[in-house]
Amino acid sequence: MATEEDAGDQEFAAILQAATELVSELNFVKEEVAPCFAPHWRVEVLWSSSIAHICSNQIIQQIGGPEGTGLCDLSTSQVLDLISWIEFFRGHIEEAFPQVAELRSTRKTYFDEKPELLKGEHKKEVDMESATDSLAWANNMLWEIHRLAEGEFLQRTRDQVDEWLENVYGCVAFHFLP
Amino acid sequence: MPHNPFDDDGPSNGGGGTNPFESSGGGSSNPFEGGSPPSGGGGGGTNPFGDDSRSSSNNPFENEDSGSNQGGGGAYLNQFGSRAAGFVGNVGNALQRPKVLGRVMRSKTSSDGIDHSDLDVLSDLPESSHGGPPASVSSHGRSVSISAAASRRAQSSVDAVGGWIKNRGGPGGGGSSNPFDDNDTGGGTNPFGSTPVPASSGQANSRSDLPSNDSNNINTQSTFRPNSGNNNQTSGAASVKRKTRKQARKEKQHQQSIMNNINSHQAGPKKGLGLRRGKQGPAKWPFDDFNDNTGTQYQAMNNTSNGDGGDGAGGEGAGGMDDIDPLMMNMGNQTINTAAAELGEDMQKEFERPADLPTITEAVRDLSLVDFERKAEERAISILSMWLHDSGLIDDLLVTGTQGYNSLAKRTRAAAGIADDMTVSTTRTSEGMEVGAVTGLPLETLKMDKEIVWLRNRVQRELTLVNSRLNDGVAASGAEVQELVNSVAATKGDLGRMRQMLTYITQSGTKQRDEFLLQNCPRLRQVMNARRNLFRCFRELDFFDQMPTTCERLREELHAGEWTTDEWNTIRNVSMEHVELEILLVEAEAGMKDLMDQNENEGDGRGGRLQPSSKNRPSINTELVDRFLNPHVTNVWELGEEIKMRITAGLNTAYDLASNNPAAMVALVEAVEVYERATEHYHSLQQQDCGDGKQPKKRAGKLKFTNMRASALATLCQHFTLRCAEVFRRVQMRVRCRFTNLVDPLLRFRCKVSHALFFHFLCHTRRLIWQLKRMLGIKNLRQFFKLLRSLCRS
Repeated sequence: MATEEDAGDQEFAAILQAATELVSELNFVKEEVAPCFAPHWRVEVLWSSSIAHICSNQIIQQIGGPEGTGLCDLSTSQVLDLISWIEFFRGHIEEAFPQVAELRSTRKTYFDEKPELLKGEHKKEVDMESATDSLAWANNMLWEIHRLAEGEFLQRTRDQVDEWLENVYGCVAFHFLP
Repeated sequence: MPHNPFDDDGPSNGGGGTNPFESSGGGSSNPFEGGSPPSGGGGGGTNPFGDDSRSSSNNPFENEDSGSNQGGGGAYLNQFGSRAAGFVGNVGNALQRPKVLGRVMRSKTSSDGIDHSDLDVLSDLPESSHGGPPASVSSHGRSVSISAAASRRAQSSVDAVGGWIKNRGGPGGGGSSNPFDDNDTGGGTNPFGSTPVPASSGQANSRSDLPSNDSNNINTQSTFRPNSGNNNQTSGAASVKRKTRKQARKEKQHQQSIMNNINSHQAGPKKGLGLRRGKQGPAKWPFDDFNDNTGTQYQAMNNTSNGDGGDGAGGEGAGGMDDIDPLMMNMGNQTINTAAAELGEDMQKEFERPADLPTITEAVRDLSLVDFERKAEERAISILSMWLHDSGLIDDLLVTGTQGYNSLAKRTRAAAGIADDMTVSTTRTSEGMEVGAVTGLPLETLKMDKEIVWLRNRVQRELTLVNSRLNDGVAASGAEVQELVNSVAATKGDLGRMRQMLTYITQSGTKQRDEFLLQNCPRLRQVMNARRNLFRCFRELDFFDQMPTTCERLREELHAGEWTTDEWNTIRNVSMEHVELEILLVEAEAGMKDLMDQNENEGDGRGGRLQPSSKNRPSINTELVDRFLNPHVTNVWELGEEIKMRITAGLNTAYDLASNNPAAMVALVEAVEVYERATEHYHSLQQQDCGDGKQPKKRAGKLKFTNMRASALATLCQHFTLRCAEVFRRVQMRVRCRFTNLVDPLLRFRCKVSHALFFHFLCHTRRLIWQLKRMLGIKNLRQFFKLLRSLCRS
């Protein structure tokens, strides 16, 4: 069993590692790849939307859905890694697309379907609204997970403190009360 | 008092016994006596010229008929006297020469002043001769120290006189043109001694006294040289007695005048002292061949000299010598005068800046081919002279001399037949500028040398440039020349058209660009537009006719560029040509169908006369147009699908391609955008036609440009998604492999194999598809999918 837990921990760490790798490539795409394409191809938007969609879905799967039911199964270090990664992702996305930070509500969810990034009769143009909406959805959703993970961490900290205080009070009562 | 025969007071003293060589009278001013007292004149034959001719049989100028030579007043003008008198009589010219040659005389100073060799020669003379006036010696030395050109000119003049004498004397002289020849006077009249001196001894003595490089002494030596031979002939003097005495006298006079001229030009009066060494044996004339050449010249001058009979002391000399031909005397004087005058004028001209040359066009105008070379040579000389003058090199050249100049002078002298050892540069001189050149010490780099080096390099560079251009012109092939000619012709045509258009624009000069000159000539404008349209129609028809060939060629290029470094550039080039095919077909279809609509509208507007036929015409014509265009459309659009697939395949690796080969990625994107620009342009034209108020088209063409960008964007999105998934999958696989590595080695092996197979499939799927297509002989994707579908069904 211990081996299966280690495997789960390693898989979770691998997910975060891959997500970090993809997010880190955002700058590379913006500086090196995008100049090779026409400006109206919006390559950086396509790339950001793709990584946001995939990373968010991977994270959601790891935490047991958008409600974060699986957060309790994560270790404290995993919760802290998750929180730090979400902050890392949010910082990169909002730096690349500042308008995403202002979008708090999205038109739809993108759990089961990919965002439709192309528009027009012949799908010749990049749908910036849809791309931005999908980015905002992923950003908000991950920020919600961040909130849940933060709550989970606080809860665990509270529990530990309670347990520690209980232990303290128990010892005091054992030694000092008749 | 000693008197210089070439002194200024010569003419004034020309009367009577002013002949410097005439020593009759106690006050005889023998120039060769130097500082000797007048009593020396009666030295009893110690002075060869100063002795009283009547008392000395050794006087070389007093022959057997000396009595007849005595003129009035006791003036006794011998042959030398006439020559000297002529020279002195033209003292104006003689004295002008130093002015003209003043610059020259400062130059080659090796012969300046008195020659030491002359002193050596004079060593045989009495001591009184050495004590001659230095001024006299110096002045003659300066007159001798002319430049090479001046000396040549003077020498030529003297030689010319000698030649004239030779001609005058004719062969009757017994082959002896030496004025000191003893033949004419017999043994007893030899002025240098009745007893012939052996030639060998005479020459040996003379040469032993002369420095080898002294030109004057060499002249002296050469003067004596023939005498050695003549002395040998003297032994057979009996054979010479056939000559008449008069002829012999004339010959002697002229030859002595030559000697005098030589001495006056080159050695000064002391050269005359060399005559005293005639007893050692006369020398041979060095320039006998000159006589033949210049004889004719002096024949012509003979005529002109007749008018100058009162020249100098010639008259007196003539009076003093009855048997001397006055014409001959005048001729000699005139020759020297003319030579000196020419010398001065020429030298002055040489130092003046040449006149500016006319342009080459003017210079060669109406110039025959024969005269061209001569004209070119003159022009080159003038250019060089101007360069010397403008660069201020003349002074440098004359004062110091240069290697180039020396070599040039050597060449010139060699061409003139003068030996190099006759150069005057070896004489011990008192002028310091020559010391470096004489001793061979290295002189500092002169301006002349620098200029010559600069000029040589410049000429060499220009010649190299000309040579390379000539080589280029020769190496050009006929095709290149033809191409050049065609380009020139095309450029001319374009220029003409531009000029025509420019006239339209400038004459209109108004608000809008279409307000050209033809605005007021609508029919002419229609004609011109029709001409252009016809030209365009023919060009497009030609292009349409070659469409299958073009498609085949593009396919070959597309396949040939596969898996090469230029694959993406090839795709871009093929796309650019392919889109032109699509444009033509789209416009053709739309244009033909639009034309049918117009015909239909016209038919409707004619009151239904064509209604029965026009009802069926559109459908029929549309089908006809589609049927007509279908083969080409199928061919071209299939090619478009192949291009699209290649582009899509490239975009499937867009991330890696952009990272590793950005230029290829750019080429790929440009290949996509070519179609989009064509589509946008086509739509913009349609909208423009609609915006111009034209009737909108009822029927648009069915043909659409290949939608490259849509497929490219879709592929790109898919590629990004797959890449992200691939990253997650790879990391998860790595973690699982790491986990299973601990559990099951077999599972680890299977994991690695599957991993490798997956990457291999991703990387080589595209290649496998193309290999399958080639193996199955499938030309386009449509056939490939049909085959694949049939295989799946079976």
